Amino acid sequence: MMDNVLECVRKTIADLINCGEDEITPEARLVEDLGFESIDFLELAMTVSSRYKVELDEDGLYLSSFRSLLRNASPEEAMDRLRAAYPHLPVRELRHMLETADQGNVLKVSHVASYLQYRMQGSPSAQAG
Amino acid sequence: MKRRVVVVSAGILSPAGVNWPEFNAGIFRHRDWFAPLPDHLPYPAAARVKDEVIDSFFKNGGRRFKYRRYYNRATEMGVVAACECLNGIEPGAVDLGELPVFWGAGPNFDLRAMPESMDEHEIDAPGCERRSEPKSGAAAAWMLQYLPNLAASAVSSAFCTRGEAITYVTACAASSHAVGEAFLKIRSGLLDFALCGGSDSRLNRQGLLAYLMLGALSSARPPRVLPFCRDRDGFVPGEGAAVFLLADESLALSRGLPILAEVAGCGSSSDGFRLTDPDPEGFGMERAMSAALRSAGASPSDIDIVNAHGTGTLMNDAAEARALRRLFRRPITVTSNKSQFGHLSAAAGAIEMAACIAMLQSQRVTPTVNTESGTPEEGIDLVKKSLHRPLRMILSNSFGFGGQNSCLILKRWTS
Repeated sequence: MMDNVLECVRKTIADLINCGEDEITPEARLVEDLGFESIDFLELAMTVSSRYKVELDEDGLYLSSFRSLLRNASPEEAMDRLRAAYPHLPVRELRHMLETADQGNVLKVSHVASYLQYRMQGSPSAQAG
Repeated sequence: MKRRVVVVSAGILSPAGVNWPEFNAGIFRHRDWFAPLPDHLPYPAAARVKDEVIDSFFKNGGRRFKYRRYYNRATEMGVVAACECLNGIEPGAVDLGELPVFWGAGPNFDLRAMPESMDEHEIDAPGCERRSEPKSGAAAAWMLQYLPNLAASAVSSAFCTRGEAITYVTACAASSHAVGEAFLKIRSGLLDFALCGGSDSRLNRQGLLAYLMLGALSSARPPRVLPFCRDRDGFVPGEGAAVFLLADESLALSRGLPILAEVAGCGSSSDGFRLTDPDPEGFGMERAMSAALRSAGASPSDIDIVNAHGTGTLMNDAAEARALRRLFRRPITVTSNKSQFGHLSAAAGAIEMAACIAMLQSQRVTPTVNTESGTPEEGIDLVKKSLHRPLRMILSNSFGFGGQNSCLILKRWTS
């Protein structure tokens, strides 16, 4: 199931930005690597929400509060906040994001797929990681 | 002294050739380029650009066109032609960062990104009160496909040109106007270089129905265009794009750019008459042609041939023939490319200017095909078969629906 969701997200993104699906790796960062801009985020959300018939929360799907969650927080506090806000992501992924936060937008293709998976099953794939 | 303006590069995507060299060969052949349209369309034939050519460019073009999902067909074709035109220039010879774009475009009916029905609130958009399940596949910015300025925006976005980008929407005179405006700005010293031309496709249901409802299309089967002939009965639609890089002559020479031809003059007018019919006397057409001659410092006797608007419709050709008779006062040699690749609408002026450049370079006149047995209007010496002739100056006419007229004068360039 997770593979299917990931494949769907990859294909949707490839269609959106007119490139090969092989360029859309799970680790590719939407903004930094794929050049995503606001209209692309809007299109992606429209497509996956109608495909999977789920109501999407923009913060969950795109981690849009990520930076504000880090504000005035010690590393431990930041991790607590991230875990609460993004239960669909594994702890080690959150930690990696925290460490690389100064290198631009952290959102990856796999994060989008994880969120969709989480919303559909209601159980975090995070447990596996 | 006024600056001289020259064409230093061309890019073509047309039914008669999908690049500049192919087009140069295609337009001297004694054939038309009409082919059957798919059954779901309401007209049997048109001059088409093969889908594979466009798809292959975007798939194998060596670069990614991120916004292709918003392109309409006219924009796709315009980007392909602009790419050929800019690739023809030595890297570094022209600063793209300052390059302006002047584009002729029309309404776009091929709104692939638009949902099929907008009536039932079927849009899945934030804040939209839905009454039924949203249809997937609608792009958030589908409105872009509708806008006439999409092609110019897409070209400047794709090639990072950052000068002014202006779209001219004067129906079938649009790309002629676009070239004329670029010419005037370079000649006056406001600009040194300009990318100009146009692209259009109406080969879709709405576009074809619009033409059919006007009774503008040929009712013969198979359809054909017989410009200025007594038995003409309308045009056949076409599609395509033509793009040119114009330059100040002295800059083109100092940078070692190849010169294809000179743009010597342009002139415009309005009929100030009916919305739907040209002035039957062709006074507006005549004023535009006279203005182009004045702009080029030329007289009617300097014009070797006229590449007519020549749509093959009853009223347009009758009016154009009257205007030509009054202006030239002698039988004038006329050819019409619309007999070959149909009417490219907003792109017609640019593609026919490309044909003028090809004629000046090869000193040959393109044939007005399928007219061998036709009887032309009085005073029109119709070129039915391609012929060699010394050509120094060609007048190219484009007359738009609504009475908007634009004429260009192309001149052979010799060093």
